[in-house]
Amino acid sequence: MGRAFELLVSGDREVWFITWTSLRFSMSSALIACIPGIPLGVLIALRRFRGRRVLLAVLTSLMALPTVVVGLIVYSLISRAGPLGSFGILFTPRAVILGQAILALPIVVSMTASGLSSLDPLFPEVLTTLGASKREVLWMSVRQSRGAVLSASLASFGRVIGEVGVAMMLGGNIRWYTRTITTAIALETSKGEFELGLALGMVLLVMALGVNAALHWMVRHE
Amino acid sequence: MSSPSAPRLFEIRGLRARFDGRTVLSVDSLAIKEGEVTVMVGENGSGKTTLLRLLNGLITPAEGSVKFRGKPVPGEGLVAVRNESVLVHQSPLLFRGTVGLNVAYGPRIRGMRRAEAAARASAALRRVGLPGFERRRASALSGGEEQRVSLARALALTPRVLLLDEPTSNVDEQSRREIETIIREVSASGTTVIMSTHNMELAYRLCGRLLRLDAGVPAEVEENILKGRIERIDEQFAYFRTGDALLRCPARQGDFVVAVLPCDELILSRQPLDSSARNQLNGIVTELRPAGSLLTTVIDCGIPLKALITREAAAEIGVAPGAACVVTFKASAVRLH
Repeated sequence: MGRAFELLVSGDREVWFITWTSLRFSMSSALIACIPGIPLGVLIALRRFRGRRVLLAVLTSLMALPTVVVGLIVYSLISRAGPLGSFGILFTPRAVILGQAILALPIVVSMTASGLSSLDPLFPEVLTTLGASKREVLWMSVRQSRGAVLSASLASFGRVIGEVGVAMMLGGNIRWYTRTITTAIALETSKGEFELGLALGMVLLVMALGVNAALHWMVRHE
Repeated sequence: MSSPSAPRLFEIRGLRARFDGRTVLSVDSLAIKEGEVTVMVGENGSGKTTLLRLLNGLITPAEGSVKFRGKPVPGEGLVAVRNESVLVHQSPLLFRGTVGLNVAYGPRIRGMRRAEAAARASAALRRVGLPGFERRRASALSGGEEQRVSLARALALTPRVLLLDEPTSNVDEQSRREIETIIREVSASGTTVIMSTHNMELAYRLCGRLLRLDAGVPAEVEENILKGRIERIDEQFAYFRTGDALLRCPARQGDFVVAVLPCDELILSRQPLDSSARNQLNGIVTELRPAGSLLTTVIDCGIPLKALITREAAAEIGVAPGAACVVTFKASAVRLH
């Protein structure tokens, strides 16, 4: 335990590199998921179409997508023999980010949609009677529920930073390259070396709690 | 005042509105005049809100037409209806941000400059009795304040037609009075007001015309709603002046502006009656029309009074257009509001 703290406070290069790698992967994948995810969620929330309920149910269940399954599917696609094998991205940061973005996408879409559906159904009508066009109605709806949209992005970040399946299977836990906090902890623990694992565990815990605290704060202030 | 040939402000023909296949509103014919205060009353689900949304072109009728200044809505008349009218929904539904942002939203979205829109917003807030509220957060207002801000948000557009859905549903008595005063002032400035309410007091006091909706169908209002004022009060009676008539009413102090007299409380006779009823007015029958199994009679007593009588009674005392008759009713039949 003491050694773990030492590693943290002494600014051990590897600890902080791994932390930075984790952050980089998670932020990139969450961001990439948000780009199509937020507009999709907004549309699902405001439009009425056939199969909307089914779609929402599917998205909600996809939030619990097992990480190893995503890892497996993406692996089979990008491995040398797979259809996307020619890109040669297996065991690179890109592969991890791709896999994690797939994990994050249903969370972003589903949480954005459910956040916006808590808008009063008459809200668009209030804007319309005041003179807003359809596009302005869409924009104001997002602004009105920006808390929900932000929590959706944060939640997706929280999901990917703590996952180990995709990072391990698609990144390969390569030192100084694709080793993330979670894969490092798994490796170090299996080697019986608890210090680095504990140190990284503490970093991860602080980040996870931080994201959660931010979410709570946002929900309370909405 | 528009000339008789000019199209009415709103004209409804054969209107049917449906939700989930259920007809919720069915209005064969209705015209609304410019400058008037029309108050709709009726149970929940009687179609009041639906009618307001139809008038504002927010929903499309299943059948029939709504015309605004002679042009169909939605359709050719939609731009005009959007420019001239605005609906204030029952729940205030303020946007996040400041009160000023909310109230200036309409003018801003319609392309007004920021400074001008802010000036409009301030004027509208003063009008609803919330001067200086611009910088307050919309989320930190009381229920009554929210309702008034949402009213101000509509007034900032200086609409010619103000549509109000239950403007006093979520407010206390004090705010109700304030909102009544605001509506009165808005109407006095020439704005047409069409509103719905559950509050009969408010309806009687404000209405130029009362429209009762019963399960989506306009129903006859079986009351005489007489505008006027208290002339004097003695120990026994309040004397209510309406047009050329002076009605004896139960003595009550208050700022009354309307006397309500149910049509079935009126007794018609050829000769003055020797009775305990304290109001007797002489008049001439001007109209006679069937109302179910009864007859609705309109008698001009200096003011037109509507009475419900049976066919048998009408035949016996000779009620016919042009006939003179005496209208008798008890002072206690008159309710002051």
